[in-house]
Amino acid sequence: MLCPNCKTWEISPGAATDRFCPWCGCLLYQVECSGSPDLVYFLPPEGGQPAISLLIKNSGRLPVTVVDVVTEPAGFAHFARLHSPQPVEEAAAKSGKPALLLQPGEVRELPGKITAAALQALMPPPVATSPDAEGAADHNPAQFGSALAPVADGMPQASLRISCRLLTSPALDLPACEFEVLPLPEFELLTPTLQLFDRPPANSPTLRCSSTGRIRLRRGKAAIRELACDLPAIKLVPDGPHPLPGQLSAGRDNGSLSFQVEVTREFLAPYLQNGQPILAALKLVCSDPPGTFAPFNSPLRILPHPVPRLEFPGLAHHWAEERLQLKTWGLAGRSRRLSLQVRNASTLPVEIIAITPAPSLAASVLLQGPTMPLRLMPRQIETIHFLLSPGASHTATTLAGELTFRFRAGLEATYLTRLPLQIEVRVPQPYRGVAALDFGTSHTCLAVAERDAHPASLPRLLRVENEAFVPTVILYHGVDQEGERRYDIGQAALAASTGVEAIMHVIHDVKKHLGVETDREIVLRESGTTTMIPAHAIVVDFLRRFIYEAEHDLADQLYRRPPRNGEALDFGACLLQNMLVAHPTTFTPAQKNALRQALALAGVMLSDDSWLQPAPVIAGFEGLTARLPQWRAETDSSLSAMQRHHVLTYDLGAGATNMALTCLELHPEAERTLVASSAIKMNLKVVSVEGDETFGGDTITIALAKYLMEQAVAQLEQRLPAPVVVPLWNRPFELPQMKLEKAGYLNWRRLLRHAEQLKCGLAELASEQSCALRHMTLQVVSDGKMRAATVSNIEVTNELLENLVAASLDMHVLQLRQMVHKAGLDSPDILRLTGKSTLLSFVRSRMARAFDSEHCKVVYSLDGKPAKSLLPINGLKSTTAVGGAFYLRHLSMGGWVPAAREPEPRRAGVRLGLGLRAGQELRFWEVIGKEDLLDTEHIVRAFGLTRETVISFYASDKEGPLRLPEEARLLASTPLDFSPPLPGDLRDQELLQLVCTGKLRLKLTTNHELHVMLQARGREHVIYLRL
Amino acid sequence: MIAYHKDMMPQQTTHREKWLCPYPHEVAPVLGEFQPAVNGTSETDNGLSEVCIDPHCRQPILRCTACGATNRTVARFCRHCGQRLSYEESLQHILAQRDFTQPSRASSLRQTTLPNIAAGSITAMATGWGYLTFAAANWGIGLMANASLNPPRLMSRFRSQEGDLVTQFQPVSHPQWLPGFFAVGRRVIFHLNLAPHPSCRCLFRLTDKAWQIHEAIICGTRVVIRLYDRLAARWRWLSIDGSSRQVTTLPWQHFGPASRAIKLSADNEILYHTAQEAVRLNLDTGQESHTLAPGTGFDVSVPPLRHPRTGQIFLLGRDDIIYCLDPANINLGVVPFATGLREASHLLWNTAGDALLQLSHGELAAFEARAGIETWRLRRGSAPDFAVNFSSPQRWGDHLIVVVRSAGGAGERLGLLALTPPGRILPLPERAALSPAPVCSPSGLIAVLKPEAAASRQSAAFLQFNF
Repeated sequence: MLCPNCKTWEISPGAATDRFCPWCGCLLYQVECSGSPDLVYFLPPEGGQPAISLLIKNSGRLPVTVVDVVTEPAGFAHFARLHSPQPVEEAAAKSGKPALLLQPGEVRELPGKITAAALQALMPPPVATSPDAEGAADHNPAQFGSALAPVADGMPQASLRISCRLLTSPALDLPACEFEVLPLPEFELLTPTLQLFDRPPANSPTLRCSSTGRIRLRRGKAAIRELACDLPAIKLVPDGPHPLPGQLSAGRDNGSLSFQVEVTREFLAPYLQNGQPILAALKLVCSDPPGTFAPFNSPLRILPHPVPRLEFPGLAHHWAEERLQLKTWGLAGRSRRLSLQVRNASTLPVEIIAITPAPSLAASVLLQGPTMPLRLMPRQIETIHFLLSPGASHTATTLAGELTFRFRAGLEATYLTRLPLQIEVRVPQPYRGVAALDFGTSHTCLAVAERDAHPASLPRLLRVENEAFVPTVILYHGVDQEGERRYDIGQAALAASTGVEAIMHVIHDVKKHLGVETDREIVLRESGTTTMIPAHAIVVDFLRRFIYEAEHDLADQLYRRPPRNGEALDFGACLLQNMLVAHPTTFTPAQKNALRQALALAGVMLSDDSWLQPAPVIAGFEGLTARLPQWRAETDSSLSAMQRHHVLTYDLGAGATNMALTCLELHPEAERTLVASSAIKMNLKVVSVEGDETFGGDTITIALAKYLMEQAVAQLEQRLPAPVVVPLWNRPFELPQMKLEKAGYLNWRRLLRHAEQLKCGLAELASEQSCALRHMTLQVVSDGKMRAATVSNIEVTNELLENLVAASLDMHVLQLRQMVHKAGLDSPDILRLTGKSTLLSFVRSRMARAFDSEHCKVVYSLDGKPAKSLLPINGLKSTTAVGGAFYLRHLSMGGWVPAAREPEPRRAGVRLGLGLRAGQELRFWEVIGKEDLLDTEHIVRAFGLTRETVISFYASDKEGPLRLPEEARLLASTPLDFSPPLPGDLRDQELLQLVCTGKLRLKLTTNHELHVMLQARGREHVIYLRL
Repeated sequence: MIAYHKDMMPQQTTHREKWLCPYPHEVAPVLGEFQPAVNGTSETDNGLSEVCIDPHCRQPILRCTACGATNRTVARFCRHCGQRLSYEESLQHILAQRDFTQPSRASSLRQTTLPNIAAGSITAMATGWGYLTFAAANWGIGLMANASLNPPRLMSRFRSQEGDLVTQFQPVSHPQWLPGFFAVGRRVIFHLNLAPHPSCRCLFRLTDKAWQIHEAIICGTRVVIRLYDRLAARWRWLSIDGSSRQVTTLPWQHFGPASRAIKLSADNEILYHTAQEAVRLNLDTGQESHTLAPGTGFDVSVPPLRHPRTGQIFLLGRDDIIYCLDPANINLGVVPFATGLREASHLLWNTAGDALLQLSHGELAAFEARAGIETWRLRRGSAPDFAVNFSSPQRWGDHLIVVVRSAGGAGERLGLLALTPPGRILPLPERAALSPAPVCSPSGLIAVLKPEAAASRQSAAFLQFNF
């Protein structure tokens, strides 16, 4: 065959070894192939099989036969048979497929389609299909993976490239046609819900959503031209980190775009009123592929929100006409906590960023907690604590200003709420009413009463942290560098000490430190380290804080009290004076002195020993006043003889049992009513007091705890591998050090707590009913390993408890009877039971049988009704404190007939001074208060004391300011000579340490001798000074 | 799996086609990208000596300069990529860069004995497109590949009638003619065609004993033959159609001696000169154009020389002056170009085309092509004496194959004269016969062994010089 162009060169037929004619250079064999379209879209999943076509042109000089089309990956495209007008070549016939003969210059279109296998490879179905599906046998899945575009694991394929190559005869090396198969784009709203906040300044006609909407292209590719919405009032503005892209691809950059939504106010107004969301159908107008697409989770929900605001629910009753205002009080020079409740009144969570007081308040109001920013869910109420510390001022002032709350709702909108704040500041003044303190072993309370006839002035309990009965516990947080201790008392200390380790920090037995002169080792909560604190300082710390907080509650009561006619009672007059303090009958004079000294250091001066009264005595007075009208009714009012009523009080306290027999003398001129008690003339005489400090409510609790322990060990030995050891640690004044000891301490505390709960449970039940312990977790050592074990279902009955304490109760009954018989009586008029353990049914029944029930009336509480429960004991009234308040009130209102008692101590003040002279420096200070110096010991604290220090004392009977030069001369004239002499090797440092730890004490005796006692190295060195 | 027909090359092996031997085969061998030197060829011939590795083929291979595909040497375009190819241009380009004075480590001399051909019977030989063709009396025309001389492998033999003596070969390299040779004898012209496969046919044969063929010139699709009538000493022209071999008598006839004719740039014009005038003939119209010679006349033994680019015609006068003639305006007459050598025998161009060389008996002079200024001259005393006794001198690049005469006149031998200063001469071994003239190959020269130097009278031999 000659070259058709030059007709010269002979072409070897059949093979395409000569693509060009070697003679004339003309192109002999050339086939151009192009695919149409090169981008194939389909709509998954039932989008059919998209059609493609190959446009084949023979641009050579010789005919070419297209035999087959090879697709890569194989089987992803299918080209149907063609009805070729030319006879099928032999080669094609052998392969079983028709061939397409292309004459020179001929153009043919070869139609085909993308097969289902390709679409399945591109969009794999969610459920795995069986491998023997139709058509899958020919296709190796491994082939598909190599041809697919590389995408991240777990993502659907973005696109699929299929290359088609023509097989021709003669064989030509033709470039492949590539088809890119994509699914039609599918969009997803990444932010199906947007929040829209109304804003107060309405100068803009539109409002923009707080956050940016985002749309993701889930699959395919798209060139987005425009964002549209079906609502004309809503405008979509492409913005943010992913603005409108020219081409969006599902695999790349997560295929996302972001936009912002603007809504006109006019359109928004009805939605704001009814709170319904705006449903906006989004449309994406695409240029490639042309069309409009909507995200599959359209429409977009736009939630309209009104302007968020904060409410202050606690201030409802302070609502003035125009604005809400927080009015409160403050004491000059004293700081107190102020709590304010804030409620989120909006429909969205808000976040309070900052609370800033006005500049006029900045020095007085300090935010304490919680830490900002504070997140509030809708309708959530949070309490915010401030520390009010108005500066020292000597006149009544009023601080006014605003608290500014900055809070945020949504993402970027910040709002302000201003709360006017007015603080009335008063200088603390002494309280003109009376007070009575019951410093108990387990709980402490304080009652106050005004000295007038108003019903609101009756004795009432003050509250500390909203608790009238403050647990007598203390928790030390830390010690400052200046030596100031930071601590909590009462419920705050208990609340801060929950946990295994934290239980070590709480000191439960505060009262037992009275009169103890050694140091107590405590664990600081903040640092976890131990430090030494004098035992009496713990009592002082507790009492000081308790009275401080009680005075605040009193000021608050006075501040909230409605004004009375003609009374100018200011809330600043809250400093407690005239306080009657109850003590157990078993207190020794030294203990009483220690109590009085601790109260003095806590800021309460007891002018007289009469301010210290046995607890059952004043507790009995409460019962007496309650019985007064009855007694008056029983007797003839015309009788002029004085009436006597004997009251026997049985106080089963936590630490000790107190008994007192008192006698109330009613004078004839006494009036009937107690309220108008100025006319009542009556006298209280203490006949006798008894006490048992070995038995109290705690004794019952401890006995019960030990019983629980026995039962628990019996249970655990059955369940756990032997040997089972339950560690216990119940030594007072000694801290556990080892891990096992700490576990034992924890066990002991838990046992006590559960025993207390069981005791309370039994007190509410009848005598035949039993109470069961549900669960209790103890730290046990089993098989050499420490582990936590739970015991349960230990039943306790009243009978069991009675067996534990029956002997002691019988002893008490015997003591009560002896007291009565010694007084020459058969039975008292009233047997009064106080103390929470007296609520136990067997105690009551035992006491009810103690005396003849016809003559003796047994009274349980103020109104004669039993309390609901023991814990929390808010329901139980403290007869001791309230009775003390009654007693004092009655006394101070002039209803008291003074009995002929021993002469009162000299009212003239005795001042005892102690001077220290070290080198050229002379320092001295007043050590002891004005009165009641005799027979009490005072601890002298010194600083700068050395071996050469000359300690001089002077005593003066003067009152008024000190004249230093004169007293310095007195000091210098008094030498210091201990007997026996101090050890010769006593160094200055040791001496200073002795004094600092309270080993130097003074005692003024009744025969006007001053004893200076120094305890050094186990010996007592004394200086006897005659004043 | 998809079954492929045997016609379909698998995808990966499609490129094999360009490495296949381009000649017809049962199973074409795959030639590598680089063929090592075989059969005495050196690596310096740039692959122009490559032959098919199939021992039954051994045809010369031309590699495409662009894609490296194998092509036939006669191809003008690459069969794979369409790149323009020319074996002869490539060869001349290579030879122009070669200098025999530079020692080559492949330099060798090889003697190849041709069996069944009587020594001294080889009357003409020529090379072209990688082939060597030769004519032997009473034997015919043989065709071999250049690189297949040793061991000798005759590719084709065309037996001739008795008396068909071929005296010279003229290479046919016209765009309208397939490559090959005219084997011109006194009474017969054979056309040896190299494509698509070697073939030989008689183009023209004289029956009248008084006439003899003087020369044949390809003009387009036809061949113009000048015949000489010995009895009447006249010249006649015939035109033979290349395809139909139809003979047409041209109208002109001339008497007296005349030079060889040359073809002008147009395919229908030829030019020759006599001692008195230069004549331009138009083959289509039959018109003649004349220009008179200068006073002393032209030297008819030196054929006119045409500049390959400008088309100017240079003629040598009897007064040893070189004249220049513009063929387009032949009526304007000749103008003196330069003063040449005495008794000059040849005019020729160097390969660069910028110097006109004049060769005389023992002298060589070079003239600048534009102004005719003599640039250098090789004189007799400065080199071994040489002479040129061939009707058309063979060249090997910028070298001329000359006959060197020893100083004492004792004998003659072949030599290679450099046409560049200082014009050195490389004498070739004395065993090479002076006639027929040696021909050039990519690696050197091929000559015929002198019959007296042959080992046997029964077998002729080739001498192959590789530089």
